[in-house]
Amino acid sequence: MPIVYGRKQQVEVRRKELLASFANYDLTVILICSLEAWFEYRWGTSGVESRGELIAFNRFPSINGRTPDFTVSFRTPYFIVGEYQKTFRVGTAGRKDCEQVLAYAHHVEGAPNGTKVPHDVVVIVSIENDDIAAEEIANAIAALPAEQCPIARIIVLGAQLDGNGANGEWFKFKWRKHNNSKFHSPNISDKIAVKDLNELFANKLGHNAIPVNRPAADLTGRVPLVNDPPPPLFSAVRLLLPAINELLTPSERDTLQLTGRIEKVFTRDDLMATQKMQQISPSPPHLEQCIQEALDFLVCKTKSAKRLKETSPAKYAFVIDGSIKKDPKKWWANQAAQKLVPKLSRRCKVSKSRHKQVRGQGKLFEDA
Amino acid sequence: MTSQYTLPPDVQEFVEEKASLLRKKAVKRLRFTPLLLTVDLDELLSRRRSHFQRWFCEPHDCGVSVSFTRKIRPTGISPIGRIVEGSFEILAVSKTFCLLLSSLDSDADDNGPRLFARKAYPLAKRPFISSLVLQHHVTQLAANHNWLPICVDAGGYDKKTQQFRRDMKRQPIDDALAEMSQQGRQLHKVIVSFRNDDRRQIMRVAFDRHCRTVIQKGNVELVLQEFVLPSVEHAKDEAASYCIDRADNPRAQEIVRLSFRGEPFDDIQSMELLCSAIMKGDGLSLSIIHLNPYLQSQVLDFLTGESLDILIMDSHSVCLIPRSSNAGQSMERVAALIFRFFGEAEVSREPI
Repeated sequence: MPIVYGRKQQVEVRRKELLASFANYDLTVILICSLEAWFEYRWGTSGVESRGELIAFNRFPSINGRTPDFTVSFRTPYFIVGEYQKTFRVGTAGRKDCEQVLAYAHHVEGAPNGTKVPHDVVVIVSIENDDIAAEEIANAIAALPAEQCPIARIIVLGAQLDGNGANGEWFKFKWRKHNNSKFHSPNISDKIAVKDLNELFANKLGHNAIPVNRPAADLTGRVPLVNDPPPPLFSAVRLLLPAINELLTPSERDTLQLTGRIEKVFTRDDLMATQKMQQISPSPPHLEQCIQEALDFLVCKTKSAKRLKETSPAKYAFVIDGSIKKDPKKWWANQAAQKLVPKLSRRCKVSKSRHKQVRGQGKLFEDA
Repeated sequence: MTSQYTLPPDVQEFVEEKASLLRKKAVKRLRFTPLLLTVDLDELLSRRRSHFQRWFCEPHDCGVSVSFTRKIRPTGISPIGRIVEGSFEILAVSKTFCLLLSSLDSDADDNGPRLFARKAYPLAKRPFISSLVLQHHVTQLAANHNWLPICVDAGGYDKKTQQFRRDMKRQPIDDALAEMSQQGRQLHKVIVSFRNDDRRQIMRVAFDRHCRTVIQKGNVELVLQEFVLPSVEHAKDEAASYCIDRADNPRAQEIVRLSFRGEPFDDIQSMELLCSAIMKGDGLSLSIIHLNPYLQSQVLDFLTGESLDILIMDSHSVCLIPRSSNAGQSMERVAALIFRFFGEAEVSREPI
């Protein structure tokens, strides 16, 4: 029998993969933003627990050429390097993950007065994976030669988004004792009365919950990126489309309303100069690269954009019509999935005339 | 009881002339469509004339007289397409408020002044009032003159299917509203027959939530003064809640909160229903960024260039967060679409 129906299933698999990578990246963004909002709420300039302990929550740090997901610095002095990895890989595949975490642990953070700032490395993984991650990291530390020790403590926290609570959504963090370390003391503050990270995470039975509230969701809209590069579908929907929306002139908007379709020509620099891009603060270093990847994705995998030939700097023509105006994410995922699965060659398709012959012969045999 | 709202004298005189035609039965109805302008009337007329094949404006003392011809695309019923033509008046009540007045039949009115009002966004907007305010103004009008308002034809949008449903049972307006809310609808359009003590019909008027009225019989000036003008003022006052800018400091951001009765957002289907209500708007693009367990979606308004985020973090309220400066008009439009097709809510402005 012909295998034409297999392609439909393959396209569906690809479509789900694209949407899943979008959802995973979005989950990372909301986790980092929830942490930022939580640190700010408790220990920021108008913190409810203790004001002014937090110096900065850096969303786009760079440490020795590597890019951790966040760093937090406190007045104590104290410093956290944070990395989120949904699934910590094991064995040889996980070696790179371990190397990255150890590199952060070996990093020396200097204070302005020349002394060393005590720091911890926090590795956040999915809650099903945290004991595996802790074991892998402990093995990697044990395998280090003696002169490379001691290093900063590495704390593994398991995180899970819990939406079943009656009073909103929360990220639940779990600290497990086995193969794990506690936070350096003092950490957030040198005041004894202030609850520190050990009290909140390590010494606590059960979970520590961080709310996913309106300020956290607002931060994801203001800076919808983390230090890892996003999938191109994510940058296309979250960054590119609002910037293109800004570029349209009033007469182009009138034409769009009259005919329902418009083609907009722009360069990458036009996009970078829009208010939407300028308002992303702090600005990630890989922003321009994300925009370029999104443009390439739209040109190669969807029918919404074309690169105009022989233009320098490169000009792109983007079509806004009924399909974009409804739900661009689903539309582009569908189109990209179709493009990613190659179409079958003619040999594999059964021709219609052969079907008729078979039926005719079947009828002959029936009569006999 | 005299109303505090009056029209300018020249507009009043013009309206009185048309009202006398209605009384003599020279015209069958008078349709009033209010529009709140954000630009000059001349700019609006010049930028929207291309929606019509032929568009001829003649200014006069209190506004503009328009005659139009519109070509309708071929359909099953008329395979070669058809032509709709007519004329209507645009009365300039103030610099920011005009009334479209026509006595056309339903088809010509739909393709003429109503189309003009719909496509006027963002240069002008149609005021929107909730069904409770509509009921209140209609019952107030009746109470002022000791009339009984009987609902002859009431219609509203069904929440699940988002289709319009009509009910032609003759009942008092309060009963009609109660019946609709039990069925998950809100009143959108109602034809009311005002009767006096002798059960004689004094007025027959159609009202809707965009403050449009169609007067088939009755005192035109009364309807304008006691329904149209107060409703438009109410809509203007409510619009002030949406004027929120994107704040540079995230801690100083304000949001618009729509608080619903009951718990309409207890599952994913209702959140998707809200998104499909917003997608009915012309020129709006909605992408769902996060669906389960809370909703975060990005809405882009291609007709104004503004963007906003919609957040549903608990089961009874929707938050609108502006993502660009001057997103007030878009937020108002999104809220009106939600109220019209999904359900009505109270609007409040809160810090984040």
